[in-house]
Amino acid sequence: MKEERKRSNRRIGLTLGLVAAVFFLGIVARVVVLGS
Amino acid sequence: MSAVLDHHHGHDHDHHDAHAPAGWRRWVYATNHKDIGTLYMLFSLTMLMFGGLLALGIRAELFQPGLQFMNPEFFNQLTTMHGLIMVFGAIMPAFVGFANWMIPIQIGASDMAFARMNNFSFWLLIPAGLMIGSTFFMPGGAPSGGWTIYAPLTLQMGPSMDVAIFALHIMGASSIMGSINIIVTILNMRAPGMPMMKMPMFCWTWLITAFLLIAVMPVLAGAITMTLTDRHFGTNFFNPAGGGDPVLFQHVFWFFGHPEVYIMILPAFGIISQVVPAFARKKLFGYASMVYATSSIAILSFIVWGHHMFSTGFPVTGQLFFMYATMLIAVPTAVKIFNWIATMWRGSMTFETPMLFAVGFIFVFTMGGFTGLICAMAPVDIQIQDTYYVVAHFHYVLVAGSLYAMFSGFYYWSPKWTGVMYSETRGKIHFWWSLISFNVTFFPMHFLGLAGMPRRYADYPMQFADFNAIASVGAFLFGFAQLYFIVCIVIPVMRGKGAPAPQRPWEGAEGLEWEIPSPAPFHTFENPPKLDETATRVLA
Repeated sequence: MKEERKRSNRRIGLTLGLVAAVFFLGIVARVVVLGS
Repeated sequence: MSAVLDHHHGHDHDHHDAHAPAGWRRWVYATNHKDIGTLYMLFSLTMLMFGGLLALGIRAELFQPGLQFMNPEFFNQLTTMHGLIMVFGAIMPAFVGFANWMIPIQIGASDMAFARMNNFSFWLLIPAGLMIGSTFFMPGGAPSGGWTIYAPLTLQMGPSMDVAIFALHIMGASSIMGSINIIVTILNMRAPGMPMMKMPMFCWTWLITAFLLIAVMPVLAGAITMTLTDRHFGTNFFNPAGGGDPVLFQHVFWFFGHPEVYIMILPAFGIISQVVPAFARKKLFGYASMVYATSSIAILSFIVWGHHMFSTGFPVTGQLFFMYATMLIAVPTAVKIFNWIATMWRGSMTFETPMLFAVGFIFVFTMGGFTGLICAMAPVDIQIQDTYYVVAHFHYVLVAGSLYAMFSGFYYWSPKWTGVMYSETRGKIHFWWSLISFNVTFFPMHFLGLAGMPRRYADYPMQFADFNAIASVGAFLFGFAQLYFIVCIVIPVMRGKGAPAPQRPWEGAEGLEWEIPSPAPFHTFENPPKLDETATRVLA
């Protein structure tokens, strides 16, 4: 149960980290590609 | 913070602290959410004093017209660093400290989901804080382009700008890790019998805040990374000399910056939503509507950034969109204000210090909210853009909003943290002293702004002298009030001086934090507690 929860924590944590990375790259890509 | 600072008062729960590590290792290698919460709050208090000193430098210079103590360049460094330090060093870490201390206890979890990442999130702040403070000693001085770090000013500054950008990157990474920790803890670590819609409001507001942080901190990171490449790597994103667009920076910055405003106020709403029911001895009125209102504020915060840029030459349709979208935020905010008032309505109210700060928050924050509505009107805002009216507005929502809520939360939960009661008389002196001096400082700024006094200038014409003198006197009084708070209230309770705190010092307080002894044991809820149907009491 404890291990299962740990795995689930990691899954959600990594997903949220990935979302943050996509937002970072997304805003840079938007400015690079489309400019103002 | 007795659970943290090893004050033992002979309580029968001392055995809980048996596994607490000792010495410096306890703090450097800390993985306990309470220890890390304490570290966050001490860091925030230090930065609050540093940022406060800078503010007093600003007000000393503005006491009289003419240049008294500093040149305009240094004055601009003070305004910039005051803003950056208060936003990123004081307010945000303080609320993360509250979250660390209270969220696991309030949801019946043993600790945060990622205890070691929690340690890393905190210790990242120390080099960031040192770096940003050290910029004053660098060639050309500290950054001086305003806390909004607008291009092209940032492209023209010395090496301190690079250091500040690096520090902001580190603080952003710390915030993102902290947010991931808080979201996972709330979603995955709640005790059985604690559904989302029975969570304490502080947990709800922090959950929504954490999502906001994950969405917008990367945007700030992107903006400052592009500023860095403009400065050193030959790009021209924001540099008009190379065909770049400085207004583009403003768009990207405020897409981060406006949700940031709510990041600094939603956890405050959460604290007030805990304190008001406890001292009105009633359940929070409209719990579900509070959750939906908080979510609405968070969603709307993404579509109002343009109201910071009305004077940049927006098309009228754009101005109208951002004007109406901004006004729309008043609706869910009013839902919250009315719910707090309805909670107090016909309650058996008493006015201990936490409640005084909560009521003070509701009254003064609402004034700041209304001036926000005035600023939201595009034709008015074009007149008052970058004047002291705006300075008055955001200090009404950030000082009387965020800071008062923190004070309220400190007085409410410090018996649980430290195991001793603060002095009620001193708390009340702190409240009245702060409330009066705050208004003496910032109320005259409305008049200065309406009369046309601009922000970020070290000098001003004679016509503004009286109100500036009053504001400066108020600022020093407010500064001394906070010194009194630290010396006469915070330090004594941290040293364990005061009457022993009972498990539930507030008669009307509800929630799992009041189901554990005071001070909170080093380890709590190591086995998931069995909760009653209201999810506020432990059955076994």
